[in-house]
Amino acid sequence: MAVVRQQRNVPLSRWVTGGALAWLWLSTAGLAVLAGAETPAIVVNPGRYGPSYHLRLALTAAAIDFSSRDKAISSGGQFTVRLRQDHFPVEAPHCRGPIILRMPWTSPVTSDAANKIAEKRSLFERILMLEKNPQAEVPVVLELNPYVEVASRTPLRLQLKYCNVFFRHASGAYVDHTNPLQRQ
Amino acid sequence: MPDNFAQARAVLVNAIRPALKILEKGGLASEQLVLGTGIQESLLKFRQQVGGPALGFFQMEPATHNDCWENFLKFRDTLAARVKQTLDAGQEPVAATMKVNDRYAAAMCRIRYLRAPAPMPGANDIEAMAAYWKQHYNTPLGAGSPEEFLTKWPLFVNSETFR
Repeated sequence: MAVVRQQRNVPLSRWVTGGALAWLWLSTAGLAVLAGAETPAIVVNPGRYGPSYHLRLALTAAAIDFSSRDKAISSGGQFTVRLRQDHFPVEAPHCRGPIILRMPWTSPVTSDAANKIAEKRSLFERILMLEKNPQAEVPVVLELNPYVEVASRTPLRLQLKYCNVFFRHASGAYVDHTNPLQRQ
Repeated sequence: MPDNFAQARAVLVNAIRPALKILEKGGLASEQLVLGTGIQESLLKFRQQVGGPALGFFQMEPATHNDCWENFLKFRDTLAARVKQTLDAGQEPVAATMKVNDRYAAAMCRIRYLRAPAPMPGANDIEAMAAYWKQHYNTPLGAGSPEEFLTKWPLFVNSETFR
């Protein structure tokens, strides 16, 4: 379980009490929130409609359910990886099966779509290779939104509403860091 | 397979066409887009998503349904009143109604597309509709793909469907 702790004087409670817009004006920096030493850090970044929760995770073969049929990538670079709940650091109390981790789709009319899709394909192939190399890791960055909810405000603790999480994604591209995005 | 064609025709005639007529947002392109959405999302068979929150043949999530009312229909009185005309007596315009009233579900599906910033594709351009559905209805986060939309379409639609 990734319990999110507030860092220094960052007013994290503002995100969950409706003051997110005011906070956006006060800070352009992401809000690094550290979890316990043995669990991945969750980072809270400004989002369009509220906070976005990002998580860096080292995928391993043990965490992935390779028995599922999700071994293909569709147009737009969309693919799905099923993660074993007992290897996922955020609780999903309403999810009975594996965690469904999906790479969002890239529209063909997105600028630089071909390169963005190629990068997704490369990541997908590296993840599939884990099945043959159980000791290896593939670091990925996930976004818990939009199907995430605050289970506890003090300390802030998150849980999934369903089974779905996503690779971090912006403007049609996979985002492999947890820093705030530059405004466009 | 013939059951698929009959079901598509039945949903079109009994739910989609009446809803679009009430909304005054009909026409062949609208019918094709909404029917194609239902086929792709539920095979016109499932009104409750397995393991997820989506409801009705068009598998709209309650959060999306509510957002349509709170941030779109709330400011369009005439359109909102038309949507309410798709309800049966005693029904409320709430997400759960999409499970029991296909006409209301079809109306909300069309409302969702009205909010898309890009214009709807022209009639019979099914490939463009598949991409439009993916971008504006299923969204990049959704599980479906335009290829699936295109694969399912001929399994449900034939020359008699839109007569």
